Amino acid sequence: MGQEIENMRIHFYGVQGSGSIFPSKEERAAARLQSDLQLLEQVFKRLQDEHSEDGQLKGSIRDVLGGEPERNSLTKFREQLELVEPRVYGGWTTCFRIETADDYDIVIDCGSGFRICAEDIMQKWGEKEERHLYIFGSHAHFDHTEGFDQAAICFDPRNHIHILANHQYLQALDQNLGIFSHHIDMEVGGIQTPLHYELMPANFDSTEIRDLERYPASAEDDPMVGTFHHINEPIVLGDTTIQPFEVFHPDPCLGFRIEHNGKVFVYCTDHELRKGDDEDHPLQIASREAEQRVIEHATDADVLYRDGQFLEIEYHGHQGINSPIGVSRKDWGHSCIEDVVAMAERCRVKQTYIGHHDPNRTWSERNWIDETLVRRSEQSGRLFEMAKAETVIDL
Amino acid sequence: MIKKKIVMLGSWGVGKTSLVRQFVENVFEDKYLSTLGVKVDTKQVQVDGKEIKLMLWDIAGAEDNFSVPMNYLKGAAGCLLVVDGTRKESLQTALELKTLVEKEIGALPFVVAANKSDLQWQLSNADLEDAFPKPTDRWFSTSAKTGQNVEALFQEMAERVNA
Ligand SMILES: Nc1nc2c(ncn2[C@@H]2O[C@H](COP(=O)(O)OP(=O)(O)OP(=O)(O)O)[C@@H](O)[C@H]2O)c(=O)[nH]1
Ligand SMILES: [Mg+2]
Ligand SMILES: [Zn+2]
Ligand SMILES: [Zn+2]
Repeated sequence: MGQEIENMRIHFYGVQGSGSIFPSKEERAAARLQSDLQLLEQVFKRLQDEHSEDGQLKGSIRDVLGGEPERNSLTKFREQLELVEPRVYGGWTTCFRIETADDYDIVIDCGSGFRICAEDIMQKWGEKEERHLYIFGSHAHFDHTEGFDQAAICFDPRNHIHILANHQYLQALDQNLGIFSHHIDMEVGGIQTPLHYELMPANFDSTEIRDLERYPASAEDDPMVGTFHHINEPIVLGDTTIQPFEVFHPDPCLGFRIEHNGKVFVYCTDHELRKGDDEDHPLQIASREAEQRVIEHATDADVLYRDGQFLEIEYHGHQGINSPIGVSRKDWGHSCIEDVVAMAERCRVKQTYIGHHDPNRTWSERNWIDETLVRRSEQSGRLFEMAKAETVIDL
Repeated sequence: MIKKKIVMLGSWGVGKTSLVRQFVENVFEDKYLSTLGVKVDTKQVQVDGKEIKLMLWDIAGAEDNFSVPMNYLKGAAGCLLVVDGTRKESLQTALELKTLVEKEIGALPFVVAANKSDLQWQLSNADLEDAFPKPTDRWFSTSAKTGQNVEALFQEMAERVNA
């Protein structure tokens, strides 16, 4: 951070699907083994290359370390080795942030990753006067909203938080917190969260993204909605245009194509390319049409983040995720990794990050898949990766 | 009809997908496209006059530090270990996989394909004899490209799982 933003900087704060995960004891042991082996390999290589003659070790530990083996000399020695950090997967549920060269702060989704994301934004803002955050919501599911009221940014009266999302997303925030309507139904107040608008002094406003041609706004006078925005029109924030589009998910869900100075980032979480037998099934048709929209928006994109929670074999229930028991994942609302790769190749996407990881997939299996993706990247000349939290991309 | 799940195991790039394609569709592709996860193909074969449907689980190869997740092997009747004759280390990987399978799910009938016989090999026949001693183990020198021994390989596998 700190260094100048050329166009836009994309931060991944949360890429977990369904729930946050913390690595298990076995996974930590596997990761540790991996780094220990790497360290030992490097140490012995060094001894061989620099401290041996005719296959015999020579010299003392002092020669090797440049001092007694204590913290300082060991740290220095370690710094000289070529160690690669083991990949880190897991963490929080969906949250992305985009910083633009013209100083806009944009967040997509408020999964549990939003807490830390908002902390970083507050830190960057410091005491500055203009304090506007634009939050785009994909859909109301808990893993995309759960972090909202945990974020310090909602509790500073100087902050202006603009939320742009579909009706369900706005409602998910408003029904428990009343941040837009300043009203909470007696039956729901305090049940999901102790917090509500009176305890959250930031300024909140809402824009509902909706298909105004099909569902005109005037018919309804909704106390929750500040303004309406037609889904087919881009939202313009300075030099950035954000084009929403509908994807296919059990809960209405939006994808976003974000463009700044010709650079394009496409965000497409929670979308299912449905794999049913009956091509004429209404859900099958809806999914196909949504996939077509994803393709249109993602063609020639620089960066794509897309939900690939399952492998095909798991989707069809022939195989469980880290479990011997397979369950069909049809109509769970998520896509297959194989389809994401094929689609991104067809659409000539430069960098594709596959995310919304299933919480049950183990660390070593993710690595195994990621290694295949490294090879696929070499084969296709385009980057494919399992999305990892804390990734930062400068576009 | 009897169905038998056969898992294809080996290092990346040894020719698992190519062997299946040659066996099932009689085609060979020079271009390498790594398998993601697993792809299942089927083919019927005859053993002792009986039809058997082989469910061929073409699993993405073992990576240098991350092996094939063992839950892919659930319900497998047999294991086809693939070695790339042009890459010595792929024999080591195959042996590691075999040990892993035995440890995790018990001994499975297995047959070995020493693949890419149409190319110059790093491995010698002696290396393979040592690794897979007769009479218990059986290895074939195969080429997914020319088709050499591909039928024989899968036929042997079918007979093993039917025994
Ligand atoms: N000459 C020759 N090339 C082969 C043979 N078998 C496979 N290949 C080539 O080797 C490369 C890898 O083959 P694949 O069948 O994709 O290997 P794989 O074991 O399925 O690899 P992963 O899916 O990455 O684990 C491809 O370029 C094939 O064309 C063979 O018998 N002879
Ligand atoms: Mg393959
Ligand atoms: Zn989700
Ligand atoms: Zn969802």
